[in-house]
Amino acid sequence: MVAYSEEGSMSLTERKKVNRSVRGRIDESGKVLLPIILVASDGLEIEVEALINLQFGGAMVIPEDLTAPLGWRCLGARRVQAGSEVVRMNHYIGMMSLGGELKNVVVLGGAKTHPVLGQRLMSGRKLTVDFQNGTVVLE
Amino acid sequence: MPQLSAEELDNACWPIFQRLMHELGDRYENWLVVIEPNSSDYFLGQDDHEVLARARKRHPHGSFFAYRLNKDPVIDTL
Repeated sequence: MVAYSEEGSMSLTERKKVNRSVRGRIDESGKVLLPIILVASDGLEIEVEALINLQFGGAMVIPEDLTAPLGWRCLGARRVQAGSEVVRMNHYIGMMSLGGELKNVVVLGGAKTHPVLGQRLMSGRKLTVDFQNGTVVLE
Repeated sequence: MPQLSAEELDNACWPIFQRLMHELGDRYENWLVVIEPNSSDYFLGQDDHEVLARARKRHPHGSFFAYRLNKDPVIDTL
């Protein structure tokens, strides 16, 4: 998983000082992707691309196999409507950054490929998706 | 106590949820409830991060199942 950001190799702290805007991309299959940083329990920052899903009202879903390297403790589970079926998904509280803003959010485990970002993380921000130029900006 | 699977945790918490639905469902309809099965402690709120964090603070090593106080107890839609 690779993230694309203008800030390049700056640390998270340096990035926080720049601005909150994040630039993403639209992939070849039309998925709208934004780079995010997941902060492991030991402080290690892992940068991944996440898929925007505006149908999802929560904050974030990540593949379950990503939770072990992050060292996040599973806090149990909940029922989630996934398409036409109800599934049980583990929940975590994890630290992440979307454009320099470091925050703790509820994270569900069970995304298939990419992490998924939901409405909760878009709240109060402006999302621009330009299919003509293939650009995505979250301000 | 070993970590329960999501299904085992749901099964352990479901009877407590049903009792809470009966007792609190009218007053707190659509609120979230987070249940710790060993103590039967429950935590009510409207923000899942706030409620889960409160449950974790009370039971630092606990596992919790979360429901919506509704006939359809699903919390999120993907």
